[in-house]
Amino acid sequence: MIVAGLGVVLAVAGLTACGHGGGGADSSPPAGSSGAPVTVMIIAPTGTAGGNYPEMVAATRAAVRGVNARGGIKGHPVQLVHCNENNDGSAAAACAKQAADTGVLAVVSETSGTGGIMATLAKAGIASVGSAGVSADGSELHSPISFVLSPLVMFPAVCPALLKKIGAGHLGMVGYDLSASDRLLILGQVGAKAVGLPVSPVVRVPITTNDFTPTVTRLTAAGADGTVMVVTEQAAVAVMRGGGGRLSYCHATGAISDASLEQLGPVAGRLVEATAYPELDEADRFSELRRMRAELDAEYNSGDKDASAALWKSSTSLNGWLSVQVVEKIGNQVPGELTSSALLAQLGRTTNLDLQLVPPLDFTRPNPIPGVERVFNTTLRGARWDSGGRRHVSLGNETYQALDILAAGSRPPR
Amino acid sequence: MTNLLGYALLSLGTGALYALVASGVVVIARGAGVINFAHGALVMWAAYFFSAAQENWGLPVAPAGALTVVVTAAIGLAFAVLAMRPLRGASPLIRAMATLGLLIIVQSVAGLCFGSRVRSSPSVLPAGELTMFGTTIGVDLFVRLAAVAVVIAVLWAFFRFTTVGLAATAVVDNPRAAAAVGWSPDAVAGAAWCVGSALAGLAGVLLAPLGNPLSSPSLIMLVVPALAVALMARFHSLPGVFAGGLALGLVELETQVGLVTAHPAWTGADRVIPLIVIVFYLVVRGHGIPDRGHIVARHPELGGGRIHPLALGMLLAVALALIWFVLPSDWVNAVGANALWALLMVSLVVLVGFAGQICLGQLVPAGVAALITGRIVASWHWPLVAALVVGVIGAVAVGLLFALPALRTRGLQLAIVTLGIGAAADAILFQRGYHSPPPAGTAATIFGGLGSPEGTVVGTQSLFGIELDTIDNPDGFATLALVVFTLVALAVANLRRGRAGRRLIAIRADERAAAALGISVVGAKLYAFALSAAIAGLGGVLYVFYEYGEVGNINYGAGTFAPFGSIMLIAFAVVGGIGWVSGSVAGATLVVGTLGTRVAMVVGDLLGGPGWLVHLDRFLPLASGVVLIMIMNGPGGGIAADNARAIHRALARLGSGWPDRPARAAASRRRRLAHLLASGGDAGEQPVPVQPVPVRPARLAVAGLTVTFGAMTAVRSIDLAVEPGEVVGLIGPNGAGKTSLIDAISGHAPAAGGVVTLGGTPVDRLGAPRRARAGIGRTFQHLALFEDLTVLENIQAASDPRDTRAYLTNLLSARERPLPPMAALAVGAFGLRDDLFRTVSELPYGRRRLLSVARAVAAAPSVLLLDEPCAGLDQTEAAQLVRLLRRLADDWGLAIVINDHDMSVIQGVCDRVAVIDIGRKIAEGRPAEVCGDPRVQAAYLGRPVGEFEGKGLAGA
Repeated sequence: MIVAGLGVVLAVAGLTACGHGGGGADSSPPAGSSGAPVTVMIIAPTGTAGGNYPEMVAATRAAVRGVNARGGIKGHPVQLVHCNENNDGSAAAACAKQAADTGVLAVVSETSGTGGIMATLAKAGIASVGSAGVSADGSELHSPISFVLSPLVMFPAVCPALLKKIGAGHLGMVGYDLSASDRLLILGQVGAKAVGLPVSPVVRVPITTNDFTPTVTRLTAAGADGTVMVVTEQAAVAVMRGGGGRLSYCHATGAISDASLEQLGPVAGRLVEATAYPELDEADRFSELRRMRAELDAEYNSGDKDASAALWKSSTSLNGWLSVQVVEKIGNQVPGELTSSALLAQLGRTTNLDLQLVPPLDFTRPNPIPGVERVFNTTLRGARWDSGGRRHVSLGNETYQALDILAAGSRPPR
Repeated sequence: MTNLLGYALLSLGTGALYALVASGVVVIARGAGVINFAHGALVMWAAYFFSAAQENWGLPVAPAGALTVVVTAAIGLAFAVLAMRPLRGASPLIRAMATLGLLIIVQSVAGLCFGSRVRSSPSVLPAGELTMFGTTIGVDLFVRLAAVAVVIAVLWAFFRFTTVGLAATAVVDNPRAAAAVGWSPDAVAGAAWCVGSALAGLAGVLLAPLGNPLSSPSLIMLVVPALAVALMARFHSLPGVFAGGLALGLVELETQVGLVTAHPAWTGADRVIPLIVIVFYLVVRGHGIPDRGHIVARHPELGGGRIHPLALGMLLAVALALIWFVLPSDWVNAVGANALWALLMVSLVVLVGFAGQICLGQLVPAGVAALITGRIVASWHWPLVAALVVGVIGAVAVGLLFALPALRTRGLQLAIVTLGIGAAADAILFQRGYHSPPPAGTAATIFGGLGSPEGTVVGTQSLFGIELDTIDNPDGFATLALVVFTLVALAVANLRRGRAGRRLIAIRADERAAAALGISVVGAKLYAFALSAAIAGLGGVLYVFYEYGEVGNINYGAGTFAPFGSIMLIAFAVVGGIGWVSGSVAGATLVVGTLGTRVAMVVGDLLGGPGWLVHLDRFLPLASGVVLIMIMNGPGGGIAADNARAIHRALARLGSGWPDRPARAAASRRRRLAHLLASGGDAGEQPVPVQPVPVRPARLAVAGLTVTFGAMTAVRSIDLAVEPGEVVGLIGPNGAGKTSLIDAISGHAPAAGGVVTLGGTPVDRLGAPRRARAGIGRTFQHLALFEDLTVLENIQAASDPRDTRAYLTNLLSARERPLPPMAALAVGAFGLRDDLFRTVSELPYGRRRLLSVARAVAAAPSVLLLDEPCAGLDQTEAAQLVRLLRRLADDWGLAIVINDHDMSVIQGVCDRVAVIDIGRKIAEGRPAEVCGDPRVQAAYLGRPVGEFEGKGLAGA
């Protein structure tokens, strides 16, 4: 499944470090709001030995602080509860149950590698806004209560265009011979066809592969000068290390950690990334980005170390912050009483939602690709790693409409 | 060609890794005599530890690597001292099972310590590239290859040229002899574990920088190719390990490049290669019936399969009441998960517990059933119940495929084969991408292949009107799971008590003995695998709906049916009590997400305090690994056996307050005896009834019988005939070929030439079970009793009808029938009436020896072949047996062949004696004539027979 594939690729799903959902009230409603408080929950792992997202939780806290500063949602002060998913299926399910039992208004930026959350939320009529969509069961991508903002699950479709932009003329692909990689590899091949680049070879390696030297050899021997990678961080690093300056590379943003990119040195400069949102240093072009930075700074200044600018990430911090913006905007449009079911209904009626950082969203029109129906934003951007400055920088102002690319690539030749 | 050579060079990297991992397996096998299934886990541990030593603790590469090797070696040494040392006398299978405990412990501790975060480590090897055959190759590859070559060369030289190395081999081959000359087997085994684990540590260090996702259980499964390589090297040759590792790496890579990439339909084919190697080396070279040297492994303790309707009904009622009226949904789902895991484990109770067929791939039939069912529902929209039937049939087919290697391998070998099958099935079946038809009316078709939804979209499904959705219908789903498990468990309990179950237990205890009683070993194994697969299939289907029912889209590649899951399944089943139906419930409770997890979470919350106590549930797998090792060190009954004993003690204490309880128990016992012996055995004991006895008199004739083992001829063209009512003795020195002759007559050893007829009918082409059913019964030197069964069950196992119908009907009912006349008579004749309800292991040796003969007689043979029936008996017991045998021949008309070293026995019972020496019959005649034959005296007796009166050869 795409979602499972992305889960593998991003390697965010912790399997062993477990614990049951804890969490608690992260922010209290301000005194200035008039209505009864409403609760928004973020479900994400922090403090585990696996993948953790403290910066994303902090971003949602910052956003809620901003919402409350603006008077809450329909006059209701908002409090944020973080339920620690702990990279554990049981904890994830417990979080969902907690959300249902306590009647939260919405769940924002839910990030779970195991899943098992959406069905419980659906039964309780609670919307999930801005899920990362990386759970093994794929439920976030097609559950009717889910509203995914990030299009990263479609990154392989855009990678060929990004690689072409930096001069690649012959692509190869590297993926696992797992079912979870199938769709991702097809996306890449269709994307390459759409931009007129040959894809050969498509190397499928066992998940047990320990040595990627043969993989690199097969890519270079076939004449590839660019490669789309749908493998885990370690494998991607190994491919880049082996390929060196002979290839350029593309992956989803966040799939390879900054630490690994720094270790790779100059080779990392040959990496382009498909991104969901503008880069954080593009605040001069996006006023909403400036607002987000200001709110995060305010959160940091209140003593929240996780809101430190050093931890900000486009893929996670922005996603968390945007999710709260959606809840605020749509919540304010709810006719009558603000309840979770009313919010869900209003979300389902929403068209032309302009968040500025992504193209206007239409929640009435599901994604036409089966399995990812709830991915409403299908526009990606490009970024690259600046190995000198050790940061991600935008690849330009262009955006890439994944559905258009896929439609073009799927069209039979005339 | 250039490409071929280039890829051949590139494969050296992976090949070297395989060789290094396999060398650790071989070192432990050579020095400690153990197949270490945890070797991949040790490599995984080392890779994690090495990474953490650098990332978390900031150690430089070299000290981190050295520390990793030392710590991993220490783990191996500690395991050898704490866990394996007490198991020094256990069978190889039991010791290998204990390594599964180590695997679980290492995996659990690694999870607790390191989690699953992606880790990176700087390479310990030099960078740089060179070009050969048009292929750019990293210098590190050659360095790695050279390092592995040096390590293996040093190991080879150590084993080949040093005294310690030679001693290590000697200790494994003959621990007592080695100990006698001053080599401690424990010390050598500890050193082997230490070195072997250090090699795993080194593999982890060399592996960590290669870019492997360290969190993957696939590291643990490196043991599969390592075992394949070790098999190629016969767990002995270190140069063979090096060559085998490189060869496997080469074939895998060429398959990957030439086949899988070019033809995606062949996905996973490269990962099947280790299985092919394993099957070739174990199955092709295996034996249908184990040879005489086969060591009968100790098996886990067996439950009796008794059902207590009142207790069961009350338990079920309470559980259902809790589900529907008390428990919250997460607890209800935990009950459901518990029942489904118990269902999967009860399939292992049949296969491993009853039939003794070790299976490390039991989730394969479960997954196949789930796969078939899901695909049929998703693609053809069949009703679930119909698809489920087809899925279970598919699982049975897979079970029968599993059974094929089991027909020629057993014990440890079978464990390796099934582990390989599990890994291969995961690669080619479950990790394959599946898609479902696009929804009607969708616009997705404009995206071509992307228009078909990924996965197996089954939507919301119901079974027997119960919606399979743990969110919308947790109570109903849990009830269904509980009821299905209960029904299956009842059927398996019936099986345990019925004659079909006794056949399975007979082949578990001793295949040679089972065959000698006319039990079809092949048939029983096929049945065990088929039934077990059917149960696993049913459990697999229900479990995927438990996991994916709420989503309505099944993903088979998410690890549910991965090989590591199969290992955990059998480990938990053993901990619960794999010989007990109730053990499946106990074992299932330890699985993550079941009741054990829930209870541990509650206890953790109550305890509070330090962080690790709060997350007590995270320690369940670790505890299971420890308990598994402890169980391997005990009788192997698991939690269920301990529970049964505790309940028994409690009831005994309660019952002590009721004075009439012993009298009632005795009356019940009398009634049962009367029922069992209704056909005649109750008439009297010691005196052998004269007539009528159901023996079919038949003449055994052997002509020109020859038996060879490779180049050695054990039996050379021997002629022998035994008439009904006649007792013929076989004597000769040790190694003369007497037992080989008996084996060849009974069908337990293949004859290279000659003819065997029974009642004039040739039986040469019949296997041992069919010869037994034709009327050739036998006993064994080593008794070959079914130790876990009662005396009664041993007799029943011999005298049960050999109908195939029982395989089905016994699942429904296992009513105890009266013993057949011959069996009842044997019980009386051999004085076993008072011992009938005792387990064999409780009997003194003399009684067991009598039972072994009685069991053979109970099968109502025409000819009885007795292999040293008086060995170990004192003179009184031997004399008693001689009288009994004489009367079996005189009064019942049995034709008896007796091989014994005790000349007083031979003289006391035999009508004729044949003397065998170096495979030839050198004399035959009446005992007195033969003993006076100068050739016999020269070859065997050495002095006049009168000197041997009352003595066995040992006294000669």
